[in-house]
Amino acid sequence: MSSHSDDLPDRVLSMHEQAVREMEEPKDGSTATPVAFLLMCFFFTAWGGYYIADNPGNWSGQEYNERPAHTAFSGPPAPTDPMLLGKEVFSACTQCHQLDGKGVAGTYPPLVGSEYVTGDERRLAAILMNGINGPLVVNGNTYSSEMPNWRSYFKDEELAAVMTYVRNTWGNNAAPVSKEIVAKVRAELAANSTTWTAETLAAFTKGESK
Amino acid sequence: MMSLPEGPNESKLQQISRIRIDDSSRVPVSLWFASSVFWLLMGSVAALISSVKMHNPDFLGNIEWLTFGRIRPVHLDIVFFGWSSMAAVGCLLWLQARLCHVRLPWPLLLSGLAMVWNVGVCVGVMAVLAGHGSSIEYLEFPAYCAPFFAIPALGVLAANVKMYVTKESQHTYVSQWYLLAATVWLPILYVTAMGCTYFGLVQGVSQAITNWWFGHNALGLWVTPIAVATAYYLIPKVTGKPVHSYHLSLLGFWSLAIFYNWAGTHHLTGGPLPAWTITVGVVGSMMMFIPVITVAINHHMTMRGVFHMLKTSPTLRFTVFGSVMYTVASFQGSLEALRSHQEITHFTQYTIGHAHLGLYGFFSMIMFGAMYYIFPRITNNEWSSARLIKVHFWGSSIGVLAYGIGLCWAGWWQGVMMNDPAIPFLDTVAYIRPYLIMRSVSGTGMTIAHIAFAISVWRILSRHHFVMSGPTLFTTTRPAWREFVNEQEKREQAELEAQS
Repeated sequence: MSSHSDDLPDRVLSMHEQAVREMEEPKDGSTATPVAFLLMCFFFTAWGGYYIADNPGNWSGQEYNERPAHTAFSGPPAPTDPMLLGKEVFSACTQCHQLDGKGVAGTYPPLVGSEYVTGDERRLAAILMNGINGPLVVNGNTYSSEMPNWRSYFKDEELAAVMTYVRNTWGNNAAPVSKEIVAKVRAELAANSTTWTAETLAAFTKGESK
Repeated sequence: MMSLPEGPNESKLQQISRIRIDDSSRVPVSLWFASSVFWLLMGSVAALISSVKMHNPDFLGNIEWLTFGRIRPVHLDIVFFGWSSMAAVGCLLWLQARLCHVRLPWPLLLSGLAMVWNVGVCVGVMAVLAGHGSSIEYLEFPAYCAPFFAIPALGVLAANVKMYVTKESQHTYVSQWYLLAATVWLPILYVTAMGCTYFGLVQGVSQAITNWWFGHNALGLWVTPIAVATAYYLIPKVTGKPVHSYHLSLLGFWSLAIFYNWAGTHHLTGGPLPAWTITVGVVGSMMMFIPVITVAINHHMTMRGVFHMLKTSPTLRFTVFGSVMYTVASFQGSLEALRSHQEITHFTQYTIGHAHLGLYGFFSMIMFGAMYYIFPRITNNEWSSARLIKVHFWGSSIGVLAYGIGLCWAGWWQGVMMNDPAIPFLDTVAYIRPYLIMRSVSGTGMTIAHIAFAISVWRILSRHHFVMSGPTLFTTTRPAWREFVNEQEKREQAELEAQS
């Protein structure tokens, strides 16, 4: 009996070769931390401090630019190109006047070569302010549809830009429109938002030229 | 045959106590590992379907359940919850029992928790395929899946703490810090993230911040520490050398614990977040150089003088490959967080290349190495074929390198092209398409590797005891598995006849 229990460990071990053949459990070495590594830690910590100080976004929940102070030093914003802004605003006009500015024959008047577009800038601004009802003669054809007013949808700068855009695209070539003129027409029409007809518009235009 | 160095003479008592510890973890660890290998195969299938759809969008395009918006999150979630997390739990249970010198507590409960976890992944995958997923990355599974992961995570934490407080070892080894910390961090991360994103504790932009706080930490504070702990155990264990420096280990652990938590917001650079949150995320990411370099020095210096063992030991070769990729992918990830870098690479294939260098090249390779070490011990069996292990290693390593390097290269130039307003968007698509096809090819290589691995795992689990002698190394030549089984059956037959 006793000899049987004595060789028990050997019999167990012989059946578990995988656990017997392995090395002892790992131990820690005690090599000192290299000085170069500690210097590197200082470098990264210093860099982290610098980066935070350089990109704090004012520590504000409302600030999405990491360097708002830098933009303040860069001077007044560059002026917007009226042709680009105008093209953007013009997307509001394309449903009737179309992308090519030719309108729809018999329904919506063209902007290309139209006296209303390339002529008196004050009259053009007035049309955008109040809209206009047909019948209206453009390039020798009569159109009797209705154009809505745009005064409450766009700012002076945007209306001036879209006017400049239609006056200088598709072969049109007329002077750009300044936002001051739009502002002046808007002020004149502050009390009058009646949609124009060809006659009332002509009267308004004449009234100014006197 | 070139063999591994012989272990020093331990007392028989020590060896028997080790056998008893491994025996206690047999069922639960086998279950967590086998499940993870099953999900690895499923994840590979989902990955290949998603990958082919990137260059041939009509592939399986008329099956609603397999549309890109569903199959891609399914790939991600299977790989994260199914493969990575289950492999990590198996690893940590076995390692902690070994390092504490105690038997694994509650083996039945821990096996049951593995099944609960599996049910959670199944339910989640079906829900996402059926269109009930959310758009919260890493948390696409619907909220009702949360208990299937939160409860096992707490159970694993309890088992881990119980082992540590009843430990019979004198010294706390570096791996144990990482294992304990990871099990504490996972429930905190998961419960907080679910509460904030699904249950409305915070709203709006804060939900996005929580999402990426979780998404990044799930990798950095859950699977990364376990893989690092495993490498810290296996490299000295297989080579028989002590870990280079205890001081560096200490510095590495605490710097990881302090800095990683901040890094997540770098995923949202350019998004509508307060700028300071991203600044802090960038600094947290860059500070990760410190823990990564400590691990790199420690592992490299431990390996110095024994690199020839990479020729023979599968465990060591997989683990060292993973450890090197940890350094590479982490350096890349830190630099990738910088705003100037993200201007080019954000929203390109570069990020996907990086993710796979990390989660596959680093984490998965170390898990493979660990399984090659642990399975023979808990099953008391040997790997059936060195050739299968070779197929696994070369398929995985070449696959992930081609994948990672190819996509990072292509993603960089994709970003440069997209930043140039003169180049039409379609030109960038045409440029990247060959690389997307290359991804499907390298993914196929990785899938073949996984199939080879799954066959090995199936064999070591299904046949209780091969009468084989010695470990299966890369240099081992044995009869093919089928011949071996035939021989064994003949031998058994002969024994029976001799008896009668």
